[in-house]
Amino acid sequence: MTRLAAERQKGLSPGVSLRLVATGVGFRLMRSGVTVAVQALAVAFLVYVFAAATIDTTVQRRAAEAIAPYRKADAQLTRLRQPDTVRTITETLQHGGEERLAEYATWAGLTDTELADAKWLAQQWHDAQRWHESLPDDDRVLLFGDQPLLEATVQLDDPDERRRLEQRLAERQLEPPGGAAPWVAFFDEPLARLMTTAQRIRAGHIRALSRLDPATMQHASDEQASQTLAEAGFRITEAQLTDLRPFAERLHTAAAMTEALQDPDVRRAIARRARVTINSVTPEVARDVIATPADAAWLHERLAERNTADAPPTADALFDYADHARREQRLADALPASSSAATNEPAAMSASTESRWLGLPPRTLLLIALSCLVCVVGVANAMTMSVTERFSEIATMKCLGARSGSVMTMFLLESAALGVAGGVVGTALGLALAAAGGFVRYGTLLAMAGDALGTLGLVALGALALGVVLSVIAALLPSWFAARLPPIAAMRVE
Amino acid sequence: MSNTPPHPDQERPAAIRTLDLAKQYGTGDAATHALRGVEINFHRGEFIAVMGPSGSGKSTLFNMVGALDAPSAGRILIDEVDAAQLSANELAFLRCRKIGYIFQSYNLVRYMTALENVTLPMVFAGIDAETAHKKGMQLLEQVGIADRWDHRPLELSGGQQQRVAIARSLANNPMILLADEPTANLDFKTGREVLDLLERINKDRQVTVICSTHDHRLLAMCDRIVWVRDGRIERIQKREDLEITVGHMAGEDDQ
Ligand SMILES: Nc1ncnc2c1ncn2[C@@H]1O[C@H](COP(=O)(O)OP(=O)(O)O)[C@@H](O)[C@H]1O
Ligand SMILES: [Mg+2]
Repeated sequence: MTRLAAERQKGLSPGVSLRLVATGVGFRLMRSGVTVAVQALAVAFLVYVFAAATIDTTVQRRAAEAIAPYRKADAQLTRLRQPDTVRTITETLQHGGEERLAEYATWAGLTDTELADAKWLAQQWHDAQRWHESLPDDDRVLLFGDQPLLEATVQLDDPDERRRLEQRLAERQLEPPGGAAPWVAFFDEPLARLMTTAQRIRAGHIRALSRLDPATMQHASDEQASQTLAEAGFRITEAQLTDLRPFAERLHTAAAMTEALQDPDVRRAIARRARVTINSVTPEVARDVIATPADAAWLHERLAERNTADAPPTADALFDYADHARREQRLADALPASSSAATNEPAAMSASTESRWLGLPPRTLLLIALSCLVCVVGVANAMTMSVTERFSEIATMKCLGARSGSVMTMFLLESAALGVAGGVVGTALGLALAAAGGFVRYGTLLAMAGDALGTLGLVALGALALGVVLSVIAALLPSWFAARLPPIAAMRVE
Repeated sequence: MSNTPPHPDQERPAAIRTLDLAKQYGTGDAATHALRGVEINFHRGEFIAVMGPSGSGKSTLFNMVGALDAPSAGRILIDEVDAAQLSANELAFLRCRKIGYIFQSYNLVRYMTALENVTLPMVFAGIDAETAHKKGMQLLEQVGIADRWDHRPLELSGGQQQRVAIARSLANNPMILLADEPTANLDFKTGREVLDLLERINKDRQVTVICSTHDHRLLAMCDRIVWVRDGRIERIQKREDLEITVGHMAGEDDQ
C-alpha cells in the first residue's frame, strides 16, 4: 500500500475538461434549450442588423454602378434631342468636361476668354447657391423669402434692394464666402452676364438641333451620323455613337409603343392580357405585358394589325426595350430616393452619417445593447438554474477529487459550448433573415450582395465570438457558486 | 509529522485515527453536540460496522473521517497525515486517491453512463482515457454489471446504481472505503447483495471498509463493531465476542 504524501491534486488539462463537458452533452443540451434559444435570438438580432446594413450598402453601390450607363446614355440622348436648360448650362459650365464646354463655345461663338469668364461666373453662382442652401431655414427666409435663389435675385438689379440685403446679412451676422459686399454685388452685373451667356449657348444648341433630322439620324450609319453631328457642333465620337445606338433604339421603341397605345384596339388587347381595365393601360403596363420574347411577338402582331405608315417595332426590339426598362426600373428602385433624384453630390448622405457609429443609427445600437443585456441575463439565469439543479452532482465530483478550479473551468466551458451552439443557430437565423429581408427589398438584385460575402462572414464570426464571450461572462458568477460548493453538500438528500 | 502522537496499537498500522474528536453544529443554546470526544483507530484491511440509533452521530463521524467536513475540536489522522493541515488541493488529492465514498443515495452523475461515472475519479486523478476505460470495465465486471456499462443511472435499479457507485469508489485503489448506510434505500435482498459485495472487496483487496447500516447481517461479516450513542462511542466489540452475546439476532434476520 502506498504511503500518503501530502500531494496537491493537479488541475485538469483543457482537453480533459472539454471531454468532461462533452460527456452526456446531448442530455444537457436538451435542458439548456432555453439558454441556447436566448443566445440564438440575441446573436440573430445582432447578425441581422449588421448583415442587413452590409447588404443595403453593397447592393446600392452595385446598383448605382449598374445604372450609371443608363443615366449617362439618357443624358447624351437628351442632349441630342432637346436644348439644355439654363440651369443645366450653368451646372455644366461649373463642373462639365472639356467636350461639353467645347460644344458650348462652338454654338455660342465664345472666345477662350469669354468661356473662361463664364466658367468663373458659374463657379461663383454655384458657391452662392450652396451657401444659400446651407443656411438655417429662418435665416434663408429672412434673406430672400421662401423661394429659389435665382428667382429671388431678379430684383437685385436695384441698388437699394442690394443695400437692404447687405444690411440684413450684417444684422444676422451672416458671412457669405468672399465677404458680404462682393457676394451681394455678384447678383447685379455678373449674374446678368452669366445668364446672357447661358441664353446664347441655349440658342446655339437649338440652332444645332435644327440641323439634325431624327428620322434620318435613326437610319444613318454611325459614320454618316457622326459626320452630321460634327457639322452641327456636337463633339461625339463614332464609338460613343455606337454605344448609344441600343439606347436610342429603345427610346424609339418606347415612343412607338406609347403612340400605339392611342389605338383603342391595342389598348383593349393589352388590357385583356394584363387583366386590367382598359383605362388603366399605361406604357408601364404595356411594358410589363412583355415578359418573354413570346409576349413580344404577340404584341408585335397586334401592332402590325394597325393601318399606319410607320412599320411597328420588331418583336426583338420590343423585348429588348421592355427587358432593359424593367432592369433600369429595378436598379432605380434599389437606390435610396435621394440618390436616384440628385445626380451630383450625395449631400443628403453626409448629413445623416454624422450621428452614426459603425454605420448604424443610435436607436439600432441601443437595441443591440439591449439584446446583449437580455442575452447575458438570460444565460446567467439559465446557468444559475443549471448549477442549482446540479448541486449534489457538483459536490459529489468534489468528493471524487475535483478541484474548485476544475469545477469552475467545466462550467465556463459548458457555457462557452452553449454559446457556440446558440451563436451558430443565431448566426444562421440572422443571415437567413437578412437575406430574406434583402430579397423583399431588392428581389433578384440581392445577388449583387455577393460582393460582400467576406464582410458578411466577418459579421457572422464577430457575432459568434461575441455570443461566446457574453455567455462566458454570464456564467462567471454561477460557475463561481458551483466551485465554492463544499463536498459535504453531496450528502444532502433532495 | 513530528507532532503526531506515538502509535498506540503497534501490532497493526492504522488507516485512520481520531483523537478526541468533537463536532458541534450551531452555537449557544441552539448548539447540537453531534460528536463529543471520539477516539478510535481503524486498522488497515479491517471491516468495521458502525451501529447506533438514528441521530447518534454516525454520519457526522463519517464526514469527519472522510475529510469532507472539519471537526470543531480534536484531530483526524488519515494514513498518519493530519487532515486539518492540508490545503484545499491536497484534500482534493486525498479524496481522489485515498478514500472511496459510497453514499446512501448513490450520487451518480445523472447525465453520465455507468462507465463514465466509474472513470470520473480516474479523470480527476489524471489517468489517461484508455487506461481509465479498461479499468472501469474491469471494475464494472467485478461488481457484476459490466453488461450495463452504457446505461445512465435513470435506467438502472437502485441496487445496480449502488454497484456502479461501489465500482466508482474503487477507481483509484483507495485505502479506505466509507459507506454510510449504503443499503438504506434498497430492499432487504438487494441490500444484502451490496453488503456481500463490500465483504468480498474487503477480503480480496485488503481495503479498510467502514460501513454503517441497520441490517444486522453486517454484524456477521465485520471484524469489529463500533456502537455509537449520543455522539460518543458506547463500546467497540470484536465479532468473535459478539457471536456469543447476540448470536440469536443474526439467526433471527436469516429466516
Ligand atoms: N448539518 C447539520 N446541522 C445541524 N445539525 C446537524 C447537522 N447534521 C447533523 N446534525 C445533528 O447532529 C446529530 C447527529 O446527526 P447524524 O450524524 O446525521 O446522525 P446519524 O447519522 O447517526 O443519524 C443529530 O442530532 C443531527 O440533528
Ligand atoms: Mg446518518
